[in-house]
Amino acid sequence: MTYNTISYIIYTIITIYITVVVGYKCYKSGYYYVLSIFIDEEISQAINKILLLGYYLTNIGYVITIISTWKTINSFNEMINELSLRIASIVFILAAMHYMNMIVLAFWRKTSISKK
Amino acid sequence: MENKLIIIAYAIYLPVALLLTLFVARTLFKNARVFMLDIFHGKEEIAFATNRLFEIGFYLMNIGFALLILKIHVSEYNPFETTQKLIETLSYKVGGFSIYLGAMLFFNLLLFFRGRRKANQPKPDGPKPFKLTKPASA
Repeated sequence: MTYNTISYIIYTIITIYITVVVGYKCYKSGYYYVLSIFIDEEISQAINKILLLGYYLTNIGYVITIISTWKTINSFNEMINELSLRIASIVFILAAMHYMNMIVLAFWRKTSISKK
Repeated sequence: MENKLIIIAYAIYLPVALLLTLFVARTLFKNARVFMLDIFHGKEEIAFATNRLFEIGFYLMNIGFALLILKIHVSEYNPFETTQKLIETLSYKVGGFSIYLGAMLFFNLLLFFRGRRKANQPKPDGPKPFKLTKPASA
């Protein structure tokens, strides 16, 4: 087991955990937004589930794809450095996407209310 | 030269990709039934038939793509000999396939939205049947 292999395992576990938890929380509270746009309960539940699945697929896919670009790690110190940097970048991307989503949803809701 | 690691990589990649496709398709088309019923105004037969056809198309495209990107290229610059290399290659393939699946999922969702919007629009008046009318002053 090289340092690289160990850090891949730690990295995958932590980032996937973060992605899944964030996604589930957004799914829970995003439902009411979707409901206020589509009114019908059944359809908004279906849309919400499909959106959650798409979020998981693209984000976990990205997280896993990035593993192939790591450079070689030679010491424990380097491993900690690299791990924190990589995990931080994933968390930052998630945060940026989250704020973007909130802006889009707020905007969408405003237009759909003003239409009625 | 026989390389055992490549066989292991294929043996991991294939079940993962196929099961992922299966799981995504099942979840997507279980939830798509509501959309289809809405699009076809509650006519169950044609709604479920359309759903099934969409599902078959989804399976064909994604399993085809998964098999297409299966091959791992080995050369003297890229000797496929360590476990680390195995993990990196697999991550690239599985992750890329997962992103592709997500894109296809959103594309299908877009199709459903579009169909629903079209179905709920009021129907435009078709061409009026031609009628022979007598001129008023004759």
